[in-house]
Amino acid sequence: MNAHQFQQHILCYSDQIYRMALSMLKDENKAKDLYQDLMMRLWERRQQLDGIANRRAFLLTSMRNMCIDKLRKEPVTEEIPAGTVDLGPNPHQIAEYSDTLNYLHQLIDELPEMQRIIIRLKDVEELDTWEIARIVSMTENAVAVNLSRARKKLREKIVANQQKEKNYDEQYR
Amino acid sequence: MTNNIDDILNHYFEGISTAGEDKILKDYFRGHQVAPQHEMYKPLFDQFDQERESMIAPRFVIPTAGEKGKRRALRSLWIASAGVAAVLLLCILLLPFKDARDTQQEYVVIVNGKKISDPQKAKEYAEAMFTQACAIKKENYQSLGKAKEMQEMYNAAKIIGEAKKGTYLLTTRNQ
Repeated sequence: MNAHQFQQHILCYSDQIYRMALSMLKDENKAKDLYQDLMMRLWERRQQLDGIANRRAFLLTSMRNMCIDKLRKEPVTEEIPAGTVDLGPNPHQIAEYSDTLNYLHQLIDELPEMQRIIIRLKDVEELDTWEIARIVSMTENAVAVNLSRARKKLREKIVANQQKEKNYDEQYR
Repeated sequence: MTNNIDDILNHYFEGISTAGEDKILKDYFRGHQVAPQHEMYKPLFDQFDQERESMIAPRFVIPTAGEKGKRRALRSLWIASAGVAAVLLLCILLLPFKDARDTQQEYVVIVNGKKISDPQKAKEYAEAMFTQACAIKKENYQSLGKAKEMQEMYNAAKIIGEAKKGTYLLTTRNQ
């Protein structure tokens, strides 16, 4: 594979690969570093890339594995102090978010890792279930279950938030 | 249409919607004809679109052969520099010990509080001292010989013996 082919067949998935890293690591700088790392490794082993049938699934799986390695090596920093009660954002807090989209982005980020990855692969990257199953090394059925759980959680939170906003409006009107 | 959307939304949130239904939902929420009861779901679909459009990968520059060569040369230079630095560090660390060891092995003889570092001089001095010691020893042995001689000369038994003999001689002469 030469530079032109690498550009055509590998770098065309850059954004999807980067978003996968960002979704897993939740840190822009780390995601960028890991993306560059993966691309460099792929470039160094470019001769072996010719034989890969589904390059997108391969690339996303590679990125996912690298993220898992990185997360394993890093100490857990997102510790929740003891006694903290998370009641979710109140309408005032929501108003503090720059916009509703940021709030939704946060809702997705709060989902368990697998659900977060699957919902993004399905709804952002618009991949088929079989392809997602291949990337996350699960059966299609397991992917469907995770997707369903993730979407239900989001719906519950969206509805609850809507209710809170409604109550808030009624209270202060 | 609304009922249809409600059904598709239910399918969507149950995770059983088809690709076609997903597309209908996305198109519906991207448009401006969203029913008020569905408004609360619009940001979710907008969020998916926004993520796809705004999260762009950083540019990856494919390394050229020249760059690779340069990188290799830099790498070699770096390794060589590290090697030289390591050798220098070892020299700096080990030289004082070597000096100390050399100092310890240096030839020094202290005689009457005076340091003699020249082995030849020290040897000559040692020989002179041995000669002197021999002379003293010899001299001392001579006095010992004299003492022995005197001891023999003033041997009481001998003197008495000789005296008795003399007395006897004197007695016989007188007779």
